[in-house]
Amino acid sequence: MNNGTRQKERPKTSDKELMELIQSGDEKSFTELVARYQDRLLNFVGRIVNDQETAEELIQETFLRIYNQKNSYTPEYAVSTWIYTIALNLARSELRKRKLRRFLSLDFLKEESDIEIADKANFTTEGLAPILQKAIDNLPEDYRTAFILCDIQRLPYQQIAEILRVPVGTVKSRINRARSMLREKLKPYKEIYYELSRGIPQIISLY
Amino acid sequence: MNCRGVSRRLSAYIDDDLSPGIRQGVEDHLRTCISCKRRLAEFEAIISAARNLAPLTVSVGFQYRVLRAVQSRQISHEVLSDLRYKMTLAGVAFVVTSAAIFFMVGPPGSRTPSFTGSPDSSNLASPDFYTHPETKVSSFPVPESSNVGQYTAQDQLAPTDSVRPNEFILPNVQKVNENIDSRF
Repeated sequence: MNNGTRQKERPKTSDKELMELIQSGDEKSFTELVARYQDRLLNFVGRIVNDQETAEELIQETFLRIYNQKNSYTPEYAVSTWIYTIALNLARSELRKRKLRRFLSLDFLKEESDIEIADKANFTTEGLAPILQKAIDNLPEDYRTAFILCDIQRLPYQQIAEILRVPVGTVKSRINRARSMLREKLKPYKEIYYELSRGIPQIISLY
Repeated sequence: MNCRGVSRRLSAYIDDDLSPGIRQGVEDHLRTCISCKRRLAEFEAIISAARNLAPLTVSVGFQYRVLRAVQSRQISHEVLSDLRYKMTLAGVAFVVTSAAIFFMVGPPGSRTPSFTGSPDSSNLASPDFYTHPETKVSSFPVPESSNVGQYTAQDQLAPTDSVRPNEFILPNVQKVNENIDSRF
């Protein structure tokens, strides 16, 4: 794993030290934890539920659970693994509720439209983001979560396996499958996502 | 390594998660297979596009809302635990009081003393009380020579709100003492 590209600048207080301070009743450390994780969690939960307002509610609930269950954290796992697991459980619960609502309202009878672009000729790189997001949304939940954790959150395979509670081999397989499915879904927009991707000149030169 | 093997390992290859031997096998194949090379390029472009998605940021005041929610949840939790404590205390007090009343007065139905009078007394306040199987007075040991039968049931079962406890107990004790004296 290329840790160099995935590791960000190390904060002054490590997450584990911060958790210890929170467990001892230091409320300032909790504020610091919220500041440290709020955007990361939004980019994780927000991509799963694809609704910022719902995502913020879920993240708020995640932080409430972190605070109320602070003593249940053990340093055996990384703090981020524990936090991501709580957020993922809440996001999954939200998806289940949506599924049930959809079933009860008989919306499941309507066919879900896949990626739609009316005017492909005038399509710009800015327009790819919602297309890509839609393609990610259309992935089966297991593949979507693995893809988001790996390619948007940039977490290592081992940590993804711990969050999803599956073997590393399963994680690898899900990520490979998710990327293959996205490749199929985005085939009509290949040129555009190449443009958006930037920074891989040797690959673009193949075409 | 064939195309299928490479396709299976393409993500791990991109994420640098292959052993050196397998990695070498993938690279050897990619040098000769344009189809797999194209597939690799498309994978990398998708990953790069996903990483270039505009990051989402929380709305203004989100942190404040979280901290306020934690505080209000904490306060309600404290109020609840205080209420739970008081309820427990009230429960314990009730049990202790009930137990004290039970030992002082006795269980319901046992208020008739063991030296009660004849069950067929004409002055019984409630005949059912005596004839009911659970409160059958005939089961109480009444000596044949006892003269306690002279007492009326009203003496024994007078409502407590109309008769003070001393008035109820003292005559009986006195009679029993007399009874004992007459026998010895």
